[in-house]
Amino acid sequence: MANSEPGPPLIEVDDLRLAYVIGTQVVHALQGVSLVVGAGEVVGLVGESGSGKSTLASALMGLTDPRRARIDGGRIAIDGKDVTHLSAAEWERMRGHPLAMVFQDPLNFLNPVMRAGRQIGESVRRHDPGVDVSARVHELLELVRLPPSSARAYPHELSGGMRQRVLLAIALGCRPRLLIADEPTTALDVTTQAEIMLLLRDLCRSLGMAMLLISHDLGLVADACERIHVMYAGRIIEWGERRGVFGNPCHPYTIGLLQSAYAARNAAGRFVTIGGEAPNLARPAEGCPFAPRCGFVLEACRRMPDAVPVEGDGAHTLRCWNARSVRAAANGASEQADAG
Amino acid sequence: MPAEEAPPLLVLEDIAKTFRSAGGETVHAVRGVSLTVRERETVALVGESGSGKSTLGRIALGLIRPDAGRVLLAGRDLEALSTREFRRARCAMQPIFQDPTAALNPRRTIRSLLGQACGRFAGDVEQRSIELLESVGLRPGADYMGRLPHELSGGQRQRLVLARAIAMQPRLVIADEPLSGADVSIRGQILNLLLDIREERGVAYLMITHDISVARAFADRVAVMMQGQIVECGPAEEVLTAPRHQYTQRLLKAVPSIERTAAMAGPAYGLAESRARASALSAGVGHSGASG
Repeated sequence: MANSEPGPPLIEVDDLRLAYVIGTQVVHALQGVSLVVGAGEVVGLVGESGSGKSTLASALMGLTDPRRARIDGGRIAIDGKDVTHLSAAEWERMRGHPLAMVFQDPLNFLNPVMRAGRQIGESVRRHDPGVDVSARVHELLELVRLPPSSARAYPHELSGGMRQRVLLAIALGCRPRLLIADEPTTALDVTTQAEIMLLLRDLCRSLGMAMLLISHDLGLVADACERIHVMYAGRIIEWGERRGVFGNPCHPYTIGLLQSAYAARNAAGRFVTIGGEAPNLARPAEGCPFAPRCGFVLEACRRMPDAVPVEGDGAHTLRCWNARSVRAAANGASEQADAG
Repeated sequence: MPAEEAPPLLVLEDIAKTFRSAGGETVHAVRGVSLTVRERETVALVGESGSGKSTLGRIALGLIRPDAGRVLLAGRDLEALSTREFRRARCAMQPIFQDPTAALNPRRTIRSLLGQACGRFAGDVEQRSIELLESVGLRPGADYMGRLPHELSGGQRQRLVLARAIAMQPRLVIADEPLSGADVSIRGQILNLLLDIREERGVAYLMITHDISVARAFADRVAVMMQGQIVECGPAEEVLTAPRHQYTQRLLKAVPSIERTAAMAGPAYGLAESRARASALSAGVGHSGASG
């Protein structure tokens, strides 16, 4: 992956393997994930529920439960520092800066009996000791485009969009260099969603902040991100620039996901679906996790595919043994489209 | 596509409903709305939450009594019916809600859940329940009969809710955000199932959704609701490609769009190609039947 920026990338995940141990069951949530986010970049991570995207976010924030989550291999470096095996106390010191996070349901993360301004103030006191707290709180409210009066409001008095802005103000109080946004608008209406996404993008630009946007909504990620990673069953199966991954998708799963997302219909007038179900991560099979649902299976698919670059498509890589056939089918289709 | 002259099935006439909020404020949830769903027609009701679309759906189902206006189902005023007549008439109109888990009694087996609905009709309840399960793609049906709802996946649960709805042999299904809880790859399966039910059973749909792409792909007509009123209503293609009302335009612009991104990326990656790819690859990637 090209990384010409000076200094280490903000996030560098290399072949991370993480499992949840639940009783006698071991769920292999991440099975060798690699991802890099450089300063100022806006990067997307898409996948369906259970694909491991929120586990990855939790791991990046040191929020996985140490009693249940076990790192089986690989490495996480944040701003050049290896954080793979930090203790809870060490995580406590580094959370918020350089990485902060906002979540899907702000109500779950706000104290219901504390006014919004005080909750933002907590983050300011923690990360900006000595600063005039109330002045900084107002500055943060202005940054997330909330009126100063909302500092006096309790979370239940605010709308969903405003609550998300409060959560964002708390995160920004940490002065993060990278914001992890895990389904930040899933609980919101489309127009409120558009406002929050616009705000996030403006903030990234004006503060020079990087963002890792995690969502199941392909349209949202397509609108916001320069680079996109597609996750399936604990692995990233296709990644690269937006133009490549969404404009010229090559992994059969990505193709199926895109068609499902815009409710594409096939020649027979049926909605295109991905047959079958996501694999049970408690019993991971050898080889490509998508093989049981794939129409392009080869003998080779019994082994996990290597990362192969897509020819002539810049920084666009996928894990598929049969990319040639998938592409041939796709090119055949585009010739038909040109002829038509 | 249903003929324009198909007889009206559900007619909402000048419906109004206000609620009193906890703070004592009056909320005008629905303000003088008229809407018709014809036989075998699919109408999508789109709008943001708080626009009153779910309230309107509940009024149509008789779950909420309107302050003003009439609900006519196949020409009969629901308000004028006795409780017994109302219950019988209501069978022709079945709801599906967003969260299938909340719609299924967690302590009842599927046999019991479906048996209740099938018991209303003559014939072998067990046999009919199995047929219904198989018609929504839960095969073999007999294997599911003894299970409890929590033993099914989310997609399977929504199928079960659909099976129970069609057990009542409805003429109209009112679906309130039926896809919101489903993952992207499941959406197509549920949509195909809804298509099958429409084709095989001649059911009409009132689909309440905030998902524009679903409305565009699935509905014959679209009604756009804002602050308790329908601001625009017409053929789906027309309303969603050339909206007249400012609010519809704003709503469409707010929806993140892969199509728009594809267009932004240049002609080489245009939508035409993606669409063509969809049909060429569906044989390999997508299993377009009601696959389980």
